Order: sequence, then C-alpha cells, then structure tokens
Amino acid sequence: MLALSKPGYSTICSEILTHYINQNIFFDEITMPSHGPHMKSERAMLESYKVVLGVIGSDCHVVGNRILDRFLSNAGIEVVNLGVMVSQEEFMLAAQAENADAILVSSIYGHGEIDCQGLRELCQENGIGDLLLYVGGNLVIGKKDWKDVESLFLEMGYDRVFAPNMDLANAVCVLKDDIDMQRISRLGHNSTRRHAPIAAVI
Amino acid sequence: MELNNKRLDDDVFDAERKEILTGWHTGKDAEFDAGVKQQSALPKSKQFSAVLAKAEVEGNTLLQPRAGVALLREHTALMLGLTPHCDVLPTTIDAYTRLNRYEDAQKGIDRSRAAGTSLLNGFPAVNHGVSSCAALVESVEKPIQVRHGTPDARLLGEITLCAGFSSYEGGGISYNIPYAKTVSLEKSIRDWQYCDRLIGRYEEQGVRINREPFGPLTGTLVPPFVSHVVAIIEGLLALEQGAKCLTLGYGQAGNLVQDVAAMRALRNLAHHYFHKAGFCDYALSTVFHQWMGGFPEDEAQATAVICLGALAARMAEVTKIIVKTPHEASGVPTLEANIAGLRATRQMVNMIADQTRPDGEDITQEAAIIEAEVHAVMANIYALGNGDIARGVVTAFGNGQFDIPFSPALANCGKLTPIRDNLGAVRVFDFGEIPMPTDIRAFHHDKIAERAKAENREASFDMVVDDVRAISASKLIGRPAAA
Repeated sequence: MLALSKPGYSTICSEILTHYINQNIFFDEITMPSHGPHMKSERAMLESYKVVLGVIGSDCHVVGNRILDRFLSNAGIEVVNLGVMVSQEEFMLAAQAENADAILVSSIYGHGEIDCQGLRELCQENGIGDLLLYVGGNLVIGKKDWKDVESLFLEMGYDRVFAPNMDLANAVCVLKDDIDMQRISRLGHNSTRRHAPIAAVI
Repeated sequence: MELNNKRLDDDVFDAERKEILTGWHTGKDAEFDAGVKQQSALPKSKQFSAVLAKAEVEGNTLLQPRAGVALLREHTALMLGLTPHCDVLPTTIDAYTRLNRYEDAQKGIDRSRAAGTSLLNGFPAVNHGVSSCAALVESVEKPIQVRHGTPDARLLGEITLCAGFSSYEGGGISYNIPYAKTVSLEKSIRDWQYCDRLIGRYEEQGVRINREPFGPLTGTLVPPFVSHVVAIIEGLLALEQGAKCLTLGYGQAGNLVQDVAAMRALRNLAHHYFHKAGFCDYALSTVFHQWMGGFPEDEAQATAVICLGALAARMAEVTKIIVKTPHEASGVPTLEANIAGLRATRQMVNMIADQTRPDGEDITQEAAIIEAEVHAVMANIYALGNGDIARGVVTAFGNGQFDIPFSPALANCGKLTPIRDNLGAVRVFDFGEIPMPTDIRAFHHDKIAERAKAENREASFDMVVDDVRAISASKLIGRPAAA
C-alpha cells in the first residue's frame, strides 16, 4: 500500500487524529495539525480536498453514508454527497462538474460486484480517467477472504478497497495522502493521465 | 387519483390487475383461481397463519431467519438446510426485483449461473415465475414467507401468493421510507392497498394469508413510538382491504426495559386502534427483529448481540423472532452462519421460556410513555386526514409532523433525531415538527441531559454518530473514550 512506500506518514496522522477523537475534540475545532517541515511544505500546496460520495446501484443503505459525510466534512474535506441509489453515470458527472479529487463509492447490500464494474472505464471515456476511485462496504455476497475481495476490486480499477469496519480516521489520512501524491505527480506533466492502481504498487 | 383508506372497488382492482400482470412475461401465469387451489391444498403445517395461531395459543416463540439466493436449485437447498433449525421459512427477495428492475435481475441470474455462485442478494421470484416458486413451496415442509423491501410489490405478490407463499411482508410506508429514494408515499400506499386487497380476496375464498408490516423501518435508533405508529397504520390499511391475519413488528433498540415495554405496548395499541376503527374479526401476532443496526465483526461478539435480542424477545412473549447471524457485519450470510444464529437464539429462548415474566415498575412506566407518544401522533394524523388515516399520514410525512430517522427517502423530512439516554434507551433529541405534548418532550430532554452530564459533554449530532457506531464497537451507548 502507499503507506509502505512513505513509511510513517499515515500512521502518524492516524495517531494524531485518534488522539483528537479520544480527547473528544472534533475536527471542526482543529486546524490541520502540522507535524514537521516536510509535512508542512506538502500541506502548503494544498488548498482543499473535494470528494464525491455516494451509495452505488439500487442500494438504499443511508446510515453509513451520513456518517461518512459527517466524518469527512469534520476532517476538512468538501463532500459532494449524492446519497443512496447512485448510478455510475451520476458519480462520473458529479465528479466532472465538481472537479473532484476522488469518487468514494459505497456498497452495502451485496451487489457490489455487479454495480461497481465499469466505473473506471466510464471515467476514462469521459476524460477523468486518472481520478482517484475508492470503494468500500460489504462488497460481495457472503463472507469471503478479504484479500480476494480486495484484488477483485483493484482489478476493476479502484485505487483502494475498504472493509466495512475500517478505521475512519485512518481512511481520511490515506485519502488526503493519495490526493496530495496525485497532485505532486501531476506537477510538470499535466497532460499525463496516470493510471495504475495505487494499492497494486506495493 | 385521490388516495383514501377505502376498500378498492372490484372493477378498479380487476382493471389494474390486468395491467400489473403484463409487467414481466411471468405475470401471465398468475391465475387467481389456480392460486386459491394451490393455497387450499397446503397442509396446516405449511400455512403461515395456522402456525402463527398455534404458537399464539401455546405461547411458543417461532424463529425465522432471512435468506435468499439467485437460483432456484441453490435457494431450495438453502431452505432445506435451514428447515431443521427454524420454525418458519423466509424467502428474501433481491434488491433489483424490489425496484421492479426485472431485466437487471435477469442479468444477475445469468451472471450467477456463469459464476457458479449467487451474485444477487436474494431470490428474484418474479423472474423465476409461478411454477418455479410453486416447486420451491412443494420442496419445503414449513410455511414460507416473502420478505423484501418493495415499494410496488403488486406483481411480486400476484406471483408468489399464486405459487403458495402464505405470508407477505411489507407495507406502503415501511417498504417505501426505509427502502426507496424517490417513490411518492401516495403511490406506495396505493400500491400496497392493491397487495392488501389481493390478500383480502384470498381471505374471501377461505385462504388466510398472513400480512406482516415491516417493523424495524431504518433499523437505526428508531424510537418505539415511531415504528408503532407505522405498524398500526399499515395494520389498519390492510384490515380495510380485507386482510385478517396480521403480525406487527418492532426492531430491538437494545435497552431491555424499553424493548420489553415496546412489545407489550404494541399489542395493546394495535387492539385499541383496530377496535376503535370497528375491526374485531382478525388474528394478531407479533414479531421482534434482533438488532438491525451495525454488528461487531467478531463472530463471538455478534452472537452476544443476537442473544440479547433473543432474551428481550422471549421476555416480551413475542410470537416470532427474526434472527440475525454472526456474519451480519460482513453482509449476506452463509447457511452455516444462519444456522449458528438460529441455534444461539433457540438456546436463549429455551432458557428464558419457563422463567417468571418480568413486570417491574420501570417496564410499566416505559410502556405508558410509548402509548402516550403513539396516541399524540395518531390523534394528529387522524386530524390531518379529517378522519382518513391514509390521507392523514401522507400529509403528516409531507409537513414533517411524522418523521422517521435515517431514511433515504425524499418523502421523509428527516428532522427527528434520536439519541440514547444514560441507560441506553432510545430517546428523541430533536422531535423536528412532530407534535408532542410538553411533558413528553420534557421527559426526553431530561433523560438526554442526564447522559450528557454523565459524559461531561453537550448532546449533539456527534453523540448520535457515536451511538450509531457503538454496538459494532462492542458497546450499547456511544460513550467518549476515557481521556
């Protein structure tokens, strides 16, 4: 995972966030923590993070969606929340219109394997092929080995795949980290449209 | 079309029926007379209404899992595997069928065949059609119910009842507000009047189909009065169309006193409103859903959640328990996980069954509060509809005077905000536009203030978020971690 190629970053970030959560200080009261000059220089380039959030397909599980919205917003990420029952087309159009940094796809009801296939291709066909794509939830029918589930969705073109009970604070760090890295990689070669799944670059 | 709570005219129903049966090619096989014949031929042991009535008389608690897969052969095997461990069978319908997307369901069937495993989260009964559904009913030895989440369940009802399914879950509110985004409440209530009328027609032919409004709604911190109001209204709507065998439900909230009180209040309230509306000739039973919110991933911890539900349900003397599985956190469970949930529940129910019925002051008080809350909301709904409950409830949802927490539906206001009190009972932090007497508001306010003081923080939406995530993180109440 990316965390391995940049040791410590996500872990440190996660620990700090967890600390704030444990102290019951919520994110809207936090100015982004600065931890070291290296971090600061990276942060300084960034103006904002914007993501498109939604539950894909015919899935109407709204509770996790509301919590993610709240959590991401509290962490200083602008959330364009499309809610439940969102089509691939709607995700793509919203990401285009909002010039988002990432699409965060949730699927809880088990049809993830059918619903999520093809979103990467749709983005590529519409000029946003290098957009970060995350997917998370109960992605397949039945309790399957997580490694298999992860590879299935990485092969579909998702950059990161999250299990239902993942640590939200950690995920926020990974997300910001990925967006930062992508911005850095675009500097100087704007026209290049990267795409290799991040999690595959282990 | 003006919606009202009146029995559908025969000619209106018949004209509508013709159109409904053309919704998918399998509809043409749903012949009413054949359905009556099929239902009448079922032995008592395979009739849902008969098994429920027997459990009511004998004071037994029936166990029912949830299960459904894409293909007939696999689904039948699943049902046969579950049969020795449960009392009544389900057939959970897939999410595409629930939205009448039969072409997508067909793709799901085809892809499941190719993959050699179910890629759908349920059994697409409409696509399989009457004869395949009938073959399923023939293959099993216990009553079998359709469990779904379909705002427009008319075609599904026609096909499954014709095939011999003897119980039908759902309702115009309970299968819209938690399950859909853009369906209007007028339409879903009207479409469910059709389903209820279909069941009324079977009743008139001597076939008693069980009707079960979906109790837990969004399954997330739903205060008992909210789900009770829906259960009672859907019960009244079904009775008006001629259904006579009703099972009203409730989803476990987690606080034992509140859960036992809620089930007792539900029975009293249902009889009160049904009698008040002039209905005497009906059979009433109850169903308790084990925790419908987020589960711990660890299977041992999940089993503890399941057992707490079994305990509450048996103490509340419910007719039926809908059983969860230790795989709940991971989504659609396997047969083995389902059996594990059933066995844990059975053990708990057996151990509680012979014990004295708990009847503390706290339960009595809690039940009285729930009853007062329901009366306040029902009085307003009757007033808004000038005595017509269908019109009243549509108006109430429209202006937020009735409201369900954590709903995806645009037809729902979404201002009502629940939160746990210091003992873990679900209270209301913000009633939104719901008219509620001052003393009840004060009661909720004080209970929440007690917790806020104990946790040394203000009650806020962050506290609600903590509560939503609490059980999957091994606690009932979302307390802040110790500093």
